[in-house]
Amino acid sequence: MIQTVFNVLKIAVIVAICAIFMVAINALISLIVSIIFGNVIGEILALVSMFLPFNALAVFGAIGTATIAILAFLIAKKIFDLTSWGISAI
Amino acid sequence: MKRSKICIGFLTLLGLAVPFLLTSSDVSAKRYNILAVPITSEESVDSSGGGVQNDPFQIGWTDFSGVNGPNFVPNITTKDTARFFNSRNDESLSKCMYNGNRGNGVTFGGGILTWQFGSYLNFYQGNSTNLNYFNIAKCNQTTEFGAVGHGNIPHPEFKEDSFYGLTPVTTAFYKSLLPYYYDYSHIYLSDDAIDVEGVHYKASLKMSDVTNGVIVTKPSSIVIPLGNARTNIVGEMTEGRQIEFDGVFNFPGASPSDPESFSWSPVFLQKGHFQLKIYGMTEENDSSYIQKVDCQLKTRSVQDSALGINEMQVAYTCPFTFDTDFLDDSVYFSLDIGMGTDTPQSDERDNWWIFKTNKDWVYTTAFVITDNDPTPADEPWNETPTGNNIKEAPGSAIPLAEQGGAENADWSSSLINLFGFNFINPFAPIFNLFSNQSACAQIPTIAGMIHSNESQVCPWFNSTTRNIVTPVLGLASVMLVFGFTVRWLGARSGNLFEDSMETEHYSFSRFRRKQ
Repeated sequence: MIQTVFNVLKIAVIVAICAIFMVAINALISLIVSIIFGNVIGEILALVSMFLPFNALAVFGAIGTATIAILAFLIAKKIFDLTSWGISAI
Repeated sequence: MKRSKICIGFLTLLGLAVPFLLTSSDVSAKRYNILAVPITSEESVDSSGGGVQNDPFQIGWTDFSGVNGPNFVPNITTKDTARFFNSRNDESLSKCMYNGNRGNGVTFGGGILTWQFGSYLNFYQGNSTNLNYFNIAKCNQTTEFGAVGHGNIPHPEFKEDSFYGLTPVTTAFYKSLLPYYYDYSHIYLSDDAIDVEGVHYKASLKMSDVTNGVIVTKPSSIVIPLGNARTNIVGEMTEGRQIEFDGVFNFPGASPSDPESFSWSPVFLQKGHFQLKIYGMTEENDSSYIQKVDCQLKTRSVQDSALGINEMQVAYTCPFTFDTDFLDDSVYFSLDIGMGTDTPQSDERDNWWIFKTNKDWVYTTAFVITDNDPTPADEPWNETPTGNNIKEAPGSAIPLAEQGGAENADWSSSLINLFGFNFINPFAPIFNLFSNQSACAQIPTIAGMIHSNESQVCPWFNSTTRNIVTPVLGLASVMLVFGFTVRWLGARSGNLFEDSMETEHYSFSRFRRKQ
């Protein structure tokens, strides 16, 4: 029971850290994308997307979001492990 | 999972997408016929020396310069109203090109008028003392047209501050445009223009240099000048500045308490997207630079005003970003909106809202301006018509306006609010998969490179196909990414939350057993 509660708290802390990092990484990547693709390259990609049967921006945005979420989770987990005392109770 | 299974998984996804691709027969957005052209300064013709010298629209002209050529000097200046009528007894449209002329003989750009038999063009003159006039120089067919009106000639039919349009719809439309006009049409009659019973008269008309459109019969786009709209924007019109432009149209309708009042014609109003055109001058181009913005119709409502008159109100929003630096005091706006009075075909009715009246169907001409391809969106009525005098016209095959209460709002926005953060929502790209995917893309840089006026590209496939394929591919891709990630993490350790030391110990044990 105690282990279960501890695990739940551990997961909650990881999710909280993950959310913070997800926001930060998302903002950073958005800034980089706007610099790189905020000109002719972005317009070319938008033009190509208009001839596709799907919105490429939305699809790649979703893939990017999933990647960012995974990356943020891994970072959060690593930080938690580095700051933990000893081996986890799981 | 082996690579062959991964390939099979991808092929399966593609196979699911193929039926959607094959069913996308309507690969282009709807295109409306251009039955007339706008009366704008861009289409002005050389009127020096009288008569039209060219035919920029290549529709064939008959020179009527000798019939209605000479100008005449009017003596009517304020609050005049007149009608042009067409005497042709067929369904064709008459197009006449007119020249502008001022009282002192100075010419200015004209335009084109279009109207149909049995209908009228009404013009209202504001409180102005200008003695401007014009003459009809060329028409595309033999027609006799005339004008009737009054200035200092009293007539019971014409009342001050009133419109007498082709239908009350047009009249109401004109009245709704009044706040946005910066000039009005001026109608002047010769001294012998008195009789109103089908006698032809000579008349003069002056249209403002930048105005709205002409009238046709098919549901098409119209241009609504919003010249005063820029006064709502404070600050410089610089590139990258984001603006959200909102507007409302009010169309007054019939009064149930006054049986003699005009009633609504059936009005077909386009759903979904509209185009906002931003005209202005830039440092590189001293002529009008046009930026097109995709607008969204927010709501449409029918309500009883305080005066007991049913009004139709249409609200729209146009979020946009200036794609260039406009010179101050040079920017003005116009909105392209689809509107018509002909009954849409059965396969087109899903793209149009239909507003019914309490009287018989009245067919008339409506506006058409542009050949833009607005992509209709699936948005039902926001409210049901109120009032007890709104009922289905007899013999009509078109049902009443859609019933039902709340607007079918984009449900992704509700989920965004649930998972949203204060300032940045990292889950927005996921929810954007389920939003409308028919928005057009702005390519001002590429358009400038190829010297094209069209800086906007709309999707090739229709919105239905894109709205289905986009979330399917997006979710499938996200699931694949998560699946491979979980597989990778599971290969590293037996448990995702297990400490790394135990992982290494486990691996070392396996290594030792192999030896």
